[in-house]
Amino acid sequence: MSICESNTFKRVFDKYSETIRNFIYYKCGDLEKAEDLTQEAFIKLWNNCAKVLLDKAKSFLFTVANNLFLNDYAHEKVILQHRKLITIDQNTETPQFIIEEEEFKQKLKNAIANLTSAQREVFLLNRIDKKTYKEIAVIVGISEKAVEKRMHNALVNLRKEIKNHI
Amino acid sequence: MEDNKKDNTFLARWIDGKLNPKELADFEKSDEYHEYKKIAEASDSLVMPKYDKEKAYRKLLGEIKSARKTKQLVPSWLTGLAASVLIIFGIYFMFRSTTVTTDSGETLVHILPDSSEVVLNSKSKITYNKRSWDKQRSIKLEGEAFFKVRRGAKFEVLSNENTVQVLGTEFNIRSYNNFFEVTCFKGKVKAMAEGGQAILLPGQAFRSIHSRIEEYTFEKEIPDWINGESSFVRVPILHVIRALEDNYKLTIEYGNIDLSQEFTGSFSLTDLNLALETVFSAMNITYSMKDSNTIILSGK
Repeated sequence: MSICESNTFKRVFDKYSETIRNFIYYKCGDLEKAEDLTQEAFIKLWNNCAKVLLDKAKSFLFTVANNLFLNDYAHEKVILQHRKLITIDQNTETPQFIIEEEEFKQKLKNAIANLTSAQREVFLLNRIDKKTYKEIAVIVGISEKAVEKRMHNALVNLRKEIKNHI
Repeated sequence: MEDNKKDNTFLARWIDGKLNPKELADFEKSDEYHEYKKIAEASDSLVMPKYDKEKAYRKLLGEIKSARKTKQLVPSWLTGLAASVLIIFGIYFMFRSTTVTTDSGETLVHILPDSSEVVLNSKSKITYNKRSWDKQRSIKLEGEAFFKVRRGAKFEVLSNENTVQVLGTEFNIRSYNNFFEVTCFKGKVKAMAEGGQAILLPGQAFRSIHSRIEEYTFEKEIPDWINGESSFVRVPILHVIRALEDNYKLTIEYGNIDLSQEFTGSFSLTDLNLALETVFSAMNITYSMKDSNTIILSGK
């Protein structure tokens, strides 16, 4: 099966595009950019479809997206402030409980924004995209052990940061 | 159980449900357990803004067909900015430089992005760039701070024309006009000032006072000021007076006393009368309060 066949290409897109978009978003905090770079990574995959084997498509995409991000990031001079984007599931608890929970979530979100991008991407790929450490290791291109360390440190830092703001 | 007693993947294994029953039972008894539990639960309900896969795919096909003949007129970051204004709640990714300051009598612990720690003494200021921290651990300091640096790439502290470089260690820097002092508590520190540099091991200190370079040794685990005292080893009294002024928000009029005489000792950062007594009686200087914020000195 070749990626040059449009059905195969579509399947690859369906399978990985959302994770790539989230992965880049966790790095830069800019959703538009994350979606642009994801698209660009797939254009590159399409242009190289004859050279990239199907089982290498995933690592090709993540590597390309990451490189695009790094280059873009290095040239970017003006970035003001990147707003939000992570919203929260609605729940149906009692009002007071919701208020406290929302307050805590706000603190958590601020603390997440203050993580290093290396820790943030591991933490959010696990918490939001429900990726296993093994999967994250492939996406980020580090060992599984290194993923666990980053996850551990992310949690330590989040707790510290949240505590500092109480 | 404190963080530092756990191994460096402990929490990752916990949140993944991979601790053994004994580890888990111990952890559940600890003080911080419920805090981590809250983080785990709250982060579990975080979601990304919805992703319209079909729309994204149609857009992609459109791009592939037009083969990028057209140039993008509006920079993508600008459209991102405009779109983001519509969104009300959420995360702020702060990419501008971060500044942390303390006022007279205040100290503050600040955690850097790589979880290195800076403890700021009173009237001090640090500035660094969160965005580039991953690539370049570089921080500017005015005043005094104690650093606990995580192992990693080069960590650099710039203050006036002086630089301190380390890999992972604990050290204190005092940097004021014409006064630069670095004391090393753990690891290895390279201190550079105009006219000299030194590599310091624990218990060694380097300083430049009015461009006079000096190295000396000390025996302490952490800086005294962390425990509420400020200490000095053969420091011109002028700099001790400045430290008193900063800490207690005072003006000290030093009249005709000899400002070059050197002081060795410490003063309390919390008790003004005690501080004045310990510094000035040792130096044979009399002092009187002109008003609540002004002190007048005279030689005995």
